[in-house]
Amino acid sequence: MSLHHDHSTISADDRIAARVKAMEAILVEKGIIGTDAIDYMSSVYENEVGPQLGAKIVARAWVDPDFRQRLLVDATEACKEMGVSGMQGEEMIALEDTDTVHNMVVCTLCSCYPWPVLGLPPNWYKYPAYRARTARDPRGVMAEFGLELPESVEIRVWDSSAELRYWVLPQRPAGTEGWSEEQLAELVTRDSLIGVAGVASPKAA
Amino acid sequence: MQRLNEQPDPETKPHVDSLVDALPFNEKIPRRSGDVAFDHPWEIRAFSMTVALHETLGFPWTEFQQRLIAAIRQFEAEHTDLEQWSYYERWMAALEELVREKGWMSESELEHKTEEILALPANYMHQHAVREPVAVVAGASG
Repeated sequence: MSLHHDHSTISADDRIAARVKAMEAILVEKGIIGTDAIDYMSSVYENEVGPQLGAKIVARAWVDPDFRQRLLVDATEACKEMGVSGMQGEEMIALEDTDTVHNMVVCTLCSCYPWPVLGLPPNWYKYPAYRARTARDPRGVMAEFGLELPESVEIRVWDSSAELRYWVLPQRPAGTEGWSEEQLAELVTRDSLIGVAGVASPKAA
Repeated sequence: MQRLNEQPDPETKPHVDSLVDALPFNEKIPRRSGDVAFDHPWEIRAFSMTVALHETLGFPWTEFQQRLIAAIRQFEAEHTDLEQWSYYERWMAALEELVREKGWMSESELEHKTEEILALPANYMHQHAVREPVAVVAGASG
């Protein structure tokens, strides 16, 4: 990859994104405002933005074994089937949770995140505390989010990067037999797609 | 230790909602399930930066509101297809105007920094695919 960028390939969206980033950097550098104040305000709506697309994909995988298989083989292609794309040339992998394996996703260096599927990353995803501790003490981080799994479950932590982004295919909760895809999608939360929460069964919800 | 799953103060959301309600062309603000929604990460960043500046520095919200009205009017004056405007693109134009008039940064500072950011390769920090787990905590047997 060349380090010199070609202006003709920069989209209007990339340009405005860079402008927003530049403005924040200057304001923070000059001490006019702190990053934490901006993070705080973005936390007001970030949960509402929600992972609707990711939730739909998970619900489809729960009801359609063939789709599930395609998703686990090539998440990038399977997401396209559901009309979800938007990242150029980047690969996605869906990590399958089972009774014996639970997956968690982190970006150890920055905040690489499959946002077309998961919506906007929560602020904590980029906190050094999450990035560093998740690789060192995943069970401790899970506990902080209120997720306690049996000791027998193996925890795998995956590092998302710009080229390869992970997200979790959580287990379908008990008590949802015969539910429609739409009903199931309602149960799927952003946190369960990152792996810091499970999908609560409807009795407990 | 910073708590990870920290939630905003319960009073913050109704307060921010009330700021949004005071904005022009309210019906054009993208929403999902009734809540303010964003399609791109930069949109929520521009939004949050504006609200944070207002909250931290205490200038009247009307100052932003007026500039947003002006930015939308300007678009309308320059375009014939008025359905095509993007709320957050106009939002950013209004915020830039505010930031310049307040003397917080000049157009050339902003331009210069923008070019610097565009010149970095995309996600230059973290390019390579990591295909194995970075940590595995085996389950206890038996």
